[in-house]
Amino acid sequence: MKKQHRFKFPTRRAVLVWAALSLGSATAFAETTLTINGYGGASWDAIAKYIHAPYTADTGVKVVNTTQPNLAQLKAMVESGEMIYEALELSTQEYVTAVKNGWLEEIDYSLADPENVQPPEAKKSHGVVFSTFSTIFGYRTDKFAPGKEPKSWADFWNVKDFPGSRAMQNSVTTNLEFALMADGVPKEDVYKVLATDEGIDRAFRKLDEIKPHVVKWWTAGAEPVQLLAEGEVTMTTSWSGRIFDLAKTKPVKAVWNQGIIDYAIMAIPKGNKLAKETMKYLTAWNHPERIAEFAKVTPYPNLVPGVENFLPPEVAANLPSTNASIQLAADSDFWDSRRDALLERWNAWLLE
Amino acid sequence: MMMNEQKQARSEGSAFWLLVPAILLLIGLFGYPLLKVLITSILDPGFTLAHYLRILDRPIYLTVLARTVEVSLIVTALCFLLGYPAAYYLAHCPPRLRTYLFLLILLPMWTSLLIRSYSWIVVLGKNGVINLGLIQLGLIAEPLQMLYTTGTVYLAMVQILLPIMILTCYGVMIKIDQGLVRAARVLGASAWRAFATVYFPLSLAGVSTGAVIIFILAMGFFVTPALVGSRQDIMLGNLIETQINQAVNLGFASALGLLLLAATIAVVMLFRAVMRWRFSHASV
Repeated sequence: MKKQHRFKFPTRRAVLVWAALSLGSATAFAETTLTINGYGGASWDAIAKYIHAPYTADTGVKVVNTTQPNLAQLKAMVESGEMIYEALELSTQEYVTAVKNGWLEEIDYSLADPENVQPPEAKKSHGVVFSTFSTIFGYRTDKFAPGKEPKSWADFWNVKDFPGSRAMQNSVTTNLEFALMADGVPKEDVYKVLATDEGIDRAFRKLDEIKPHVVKWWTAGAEPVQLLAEGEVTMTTSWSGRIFDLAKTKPVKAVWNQGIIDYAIMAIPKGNKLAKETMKYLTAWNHPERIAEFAKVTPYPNLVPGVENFLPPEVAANLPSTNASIQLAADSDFWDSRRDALLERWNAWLLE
Repeated sequence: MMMNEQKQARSEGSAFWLLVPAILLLIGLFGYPLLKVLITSILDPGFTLAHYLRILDRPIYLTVLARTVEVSLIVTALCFLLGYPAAYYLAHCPPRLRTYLFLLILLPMWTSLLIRSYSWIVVLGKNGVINLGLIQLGLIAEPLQMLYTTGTVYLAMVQILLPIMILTCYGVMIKIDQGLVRAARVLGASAWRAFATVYFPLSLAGVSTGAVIIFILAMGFFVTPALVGSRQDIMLGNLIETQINQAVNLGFASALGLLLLAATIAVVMLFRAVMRWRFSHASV
């Protein structure tokens, strides 16, 4: 008895047909559906609920979220002309790379912001700032007498008047800036000083001072929260939203002064056939009352003015956007050009 | 039991097919990505050895590699020192007790890596159990800095990897014929001599399997050292991680990844060569 069972691999043609069918079904819906690619997580659930759902109600345009932007994929999409999404989330760093390589559509603000509600710093040539986040520091309020709390990076560095262990992020970005501000450089001049080799040496020399007092160079965003909550350190740098959450249950306070504010940017891949519709979609981000609802869930709103009018004062006071004027905006052009060499120096410095 | 050659050949032939799914899986999920990594490390966009020259040019990469090997060897040795006696006890204790002990040994393996690492804060932190206990006893006035030291890295890594050594040693020990040990004793060997010349060599297969697995896993560690270690406890895995997530330099990250792989293979082969040499001399 001889019976052959052979598993048949799907032929190339079958795969192509299947792929074409699934692409075809996507284009069939494309008149009314925009796919937005973001990093996912809790903030994207809030975006779907408070930004996209009302936009669909207003315009009939459906908006779908997919996850994990990836520059390599963006490049492949732009080169092939086949879009699997209409807009994507980029960090300022990725944005610089994408613009340099010509992978993004230029934004027509007569479509994206016809009423001109977004401030100039939100309107990049090839993308709109749709979220802000800051790196700041937090401290234990029970460790310092009233009126003698730390208020600046100079205080963070001053272990004599503000004793106690410190923690900082294991990251060369932000820490060089903090060191220069601690050394007395006004925030407006930080990147001017960093542009020179002497300026970088100066930042590392200043970091040498704080190094023995930093018990932990953290890598995960949950670590500084843990360190402050357990009292392992009296002061640590942290991402802004985390400190605010922790302050609800522990004697902890955030210092926004001289923090570093950075952006997430929404951009449109070059060659997107729905570019016009996607630019119109960007108006979904121009409503302060909707942004306020989003900010209640995820404290990283965009820069549209008036958000604070729709929020309880204690929430409004603890947002990167409402504290923008006392912070330094991260310079992604600087970091794009120097990151590799400085990261290497940073790692070697940690080992010293 | 009488199996003619043809039959045997056929059964081996069909048994080979049982391997096919695993081989395909390895080619698809390991071989192909590895090839991609190799290509990424030498094409940027044209052929270049720049990434490898950079590794040789800056001292930090080989320093960190040496450190990674050192930490991994120490962790492997600690796992042997702690795991071997534990496995011995398990192999010779009453079966009912054994079931409970195994549960205890396997429990840490069911807990997430992140939670295990964080839980050290509760134990070793300034307000942790040990510090508070020592202060209460009046042995110390100020809390000791136990967390975020190289010692904590060893502690945390051993905790994670120890069950592997216990399980591989136990598996071999349970099969050792106790009659051989008794025979040695009857012939006049002391308990220690019977252990050293009969039992231990027979159990070495378990030790070496456990050691190789633990060493390979330890070489790739980066989350635990980053969470519980000091600033100097950087493993090569951490440098690869920053190259991917911060520098977005996939070519250089790939070169570092292959360096790690090459170093791991080299140490494992050296270890096996030493073991083989030991065995061949022991049998003379």
